Parts: sequence; structure tokens; C-alpha cells
Amino acid sequence: MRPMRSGLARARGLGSAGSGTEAFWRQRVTSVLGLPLVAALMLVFWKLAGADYASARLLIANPVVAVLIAMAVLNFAVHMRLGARIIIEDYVHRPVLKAFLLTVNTGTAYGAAIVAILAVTKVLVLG
Amino acid sequence: MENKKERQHSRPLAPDLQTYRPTLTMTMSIVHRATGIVLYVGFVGMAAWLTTLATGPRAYETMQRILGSWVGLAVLFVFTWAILHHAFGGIRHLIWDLSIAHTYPWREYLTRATLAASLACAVLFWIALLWTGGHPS
Amino acid sequence: MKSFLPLNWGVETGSKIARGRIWSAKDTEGSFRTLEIYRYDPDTGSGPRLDTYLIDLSDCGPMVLDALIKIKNEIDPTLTFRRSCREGVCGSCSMNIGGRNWLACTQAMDDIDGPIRIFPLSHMRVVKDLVIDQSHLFDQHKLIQPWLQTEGPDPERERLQSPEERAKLDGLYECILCFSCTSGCPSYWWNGDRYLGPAVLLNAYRWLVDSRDEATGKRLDELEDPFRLYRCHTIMNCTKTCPKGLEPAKAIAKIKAMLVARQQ
Repeated sequence: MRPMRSGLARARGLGSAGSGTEAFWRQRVTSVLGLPLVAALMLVFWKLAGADYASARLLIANPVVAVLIAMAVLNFAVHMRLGARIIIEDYVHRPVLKAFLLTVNTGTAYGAAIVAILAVTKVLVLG
Repeated sequence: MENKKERQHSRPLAPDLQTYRPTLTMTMSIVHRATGIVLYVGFVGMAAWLTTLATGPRAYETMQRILGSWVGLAVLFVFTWAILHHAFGGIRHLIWDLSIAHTYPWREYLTRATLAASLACAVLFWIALLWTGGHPS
Repeated sequence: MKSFLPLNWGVETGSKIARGRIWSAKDTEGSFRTLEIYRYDPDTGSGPRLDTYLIDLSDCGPMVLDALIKIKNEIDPTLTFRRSCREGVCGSCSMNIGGRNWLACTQAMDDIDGPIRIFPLSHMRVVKDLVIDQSHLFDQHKLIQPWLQTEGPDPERERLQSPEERAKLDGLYECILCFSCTSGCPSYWWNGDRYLGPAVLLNAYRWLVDSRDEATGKRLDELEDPFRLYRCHTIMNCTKTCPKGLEPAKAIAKIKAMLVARQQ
């Protein structure tokens, strides 16, 4: 049987969620903070190019470098989780698949962030 | 003969991507999204790289050898361009969020500037990299 | 830049466009233009097709709408399209011409190179030929309650508004609801069931910024939704394609700014 719900009811859907501004603002904040952080990261990449094991560890064990990397990792983990969430919401419309992918997204973003920060901490502490 | 209501549900969809003339702004928008995805993968890769550094010399050296191969260097070049394009694109979006440069021709200039800046900076970065031979201090 | 994909790439079966017939011109004098027009007849069982018409320009006005009317009058009376004012103020004749959404009555044929390809507004359900089903678009417009909302008794005389307050409505009240912008938005293509689209959001902003309106908070509550508003990723097709020169993307950016402002 074809649906008989009115067009206005269909357009209204489940009503306004009353959210979205938080995510929007957080995305902008992590973008702005990300600009100096990415510049710093590019500088670190430059110094790491062709470096042997000892020099690389020396560089990352530097407290300033370690802190910058940790800040960048945290900032971009939040930013990329939000970005990927937007992409999944845009293109995936099946509810179960969408929920699954959103969960995988959060796990990957924050999981990789934790791994990165712990690795940096190990190098910082052990030298 | 179908009745009127049944016909409504078999209405065809007018073409979209197939016929819409690609604009510079919409192309840059999808490139912004694509670079975002590349950077997501790159972030996970960076976590892996840091792990090899924390693990030990053998793991690190294997990773460096892979990155130093021709394929690895090409991937790194694309990655640096992706970072720069996404960063400049992000600045463009922040400027638009402030309701600046929405009209013609500023909208187009800003979009072209994003592309030009990202390509220029990527090339400059790699020239600087190869020039200094990548010796860390 | 022309359209870049083959016409039926990735298209659902009922929407694939077949080759149609060629309607050649009656006499061979004068200069000609070729028009390739999307046709769909719901009364037959077949799907959409692309018909080719040859127009004698010496006896035709300069705009695409003039050519469409000429075809309907002289060549093929079954060609169906919406039209009214023929001067760019009613919004009836919006369609996809030469790859972009515009009004047929203000699109000069000389500004398009090669065959003029005319399709209905992108990613819309087609009723017949160039006529689309606008019901969902107008339902979304109704959703934002496009009327003045006040509490308390009506004033004795008119509701007062300073010139500065009135100036805020410039660039917003002129929207003719042609929906060129909404049907050109890729976000609306993929999420049009829930995303309101640039036209409706520009009209929502028109009421948000009207100093005489007293329901600003309620309006913002209705808009604050990850899909209704936040599917906008500033792709900018809307502002680029508006035939009235309005800036829907800027209106949307301002709504987002209002939502941030009320949280900080």
C-alpha cells in the first residue's frame, strides 16, 4: 500500500533534533587550532626526513616536540572523527550500517590517537 | 493502464551529476573531502610510524625503508599536498563561515588561491626537503 | 566545463534516458540552433528520452523560453514546461540549461555554445517533460513557517521598522522560490528528504532577521538539526546558480552564526 502520510508530516520527520551546533563549533575550533599545529607538524616531518633511528628518537624525545605532537594528535583526532562522521551521515542511509560505521569511526580515530600519544610518551620518558 | 497514484511512484529522477556542469567550487569541495579521507588514513599511518619508533630500531628501519622507496616517496608527496590543500581549503571555509567573499569574483579568486597555494607550498616543501638533504638538528 | 559523465552512468533503471527523435526544421534558410530536450510522457509505458529540435533563430526571441514556446507552437505541441511572467520574476521556468540551473526566460541562447541541452531541475522527480514534482520543496517551505509570528494584540497602526532594520531583508525577500539553488545542491541530492536546502533556509533566515518577528528562538530551535541545517558544507553551487543574484550560502552561514552566538 502506498504511504498516506501527508507531505508536510514527511518533511517534518521526527522533528528537529535540537543539536548540531556543538559539533559545528568544535569542528571550527579544531580547524583553527590545527593551523599552527599542522605547521609545527610539517616542520617536525621535515626534520625527520631521512633520519636514522637515534636522531629520530632524539627529536621526538625533545619535550617541546613531544608536547606539540601530542597536542596535534588530540586536536586532529577530534577533527577527523567529526569529519568522517559527516561523510558517513551524508552517504550512508541504512540505520544499522550507519550506526556500525559511526562506531568504527570513533574507535579508529580515538584508538589511533591513544596509540600515537602512548608511543610519544614512551619515547619522551625513555629517551 | 496504471492509475494516477501508481504513476506518481514510478516517476523518473532527473539527472544530476550526469548533466550538471562541474563548477570550480563544487570540485574543490569534493577534493576537500577526498583530502580529508586521505588524511584520516595518514593519521592512522602516523600512529603506526610513531609505534615503530617506540618499538625499536629494527621496526623503525623497516618502516623507513618502505617510506624511502619510490612508491613510499610518492605517497608521502601526495600526503603533504593533501595536508596543505585541506588546510588552505579549511581557511577558505572559515572565511566563508564569516560571510566574507561569497560573491563573484571573490569567491572564485579565493577558490583558485586555495588550489594555487597548496600546489606551490607542496612543491616548495619538497624542494626544501631535498635541498637540505633532510638532516635533522 | 561541460557535464562530465555519460548520461546514464549510475542511473536507476526507470530514469535512464534513451535516444529520442530528431525534429528537423521546416525551411532551410537563416541560422539554426540545436536544442536537446529531456522528454518524459507518464501516459506511455516508456522511460525518458532526449529529443533534438532545430530552431530557426530568425523568427525567434533571444531567450531559451522563446525557443521552447516556439517549439510548442510550431513544431511539437506536446512539449510541456512551466512558464508565466517571461521576465524572471515568477520562478516558474527554472530548469537545467546548458548544465546549470537557471530561468529559461532570462537565459540568452547566445550565451551557450553548441547544442542547448535542457533538462528538468537536477535530481527532482519528473511529472512530465520539464515539469518536476515540487510538493516536497513546498512542504519544506511550509515547515519553516514563512509568516510573521507575534504574541499579544495587533497594533493600532502598522508594525514599525527602521530603515536599517528593513535593509536587513534586502537580498532575502527577493527570493522567487524557483528552487534552482536547492536542486543544484549535491547535499540536497543525497539528503533532500531531510535537508531543507538553500532556498528554504534563505527564506527561514528572512524571517529570523525580520525585526517585527517575535518567534526567533522558536525558529532557531526548529532549524538546529544535523540534517535540516547542518548538511550544508558550503559547496557554493547555490549562490553560483541563483538567477536573482541572491546568496543562500551567506544566509545559511548567518543562521549558523546565530546558533553559535546563542550558545556563547
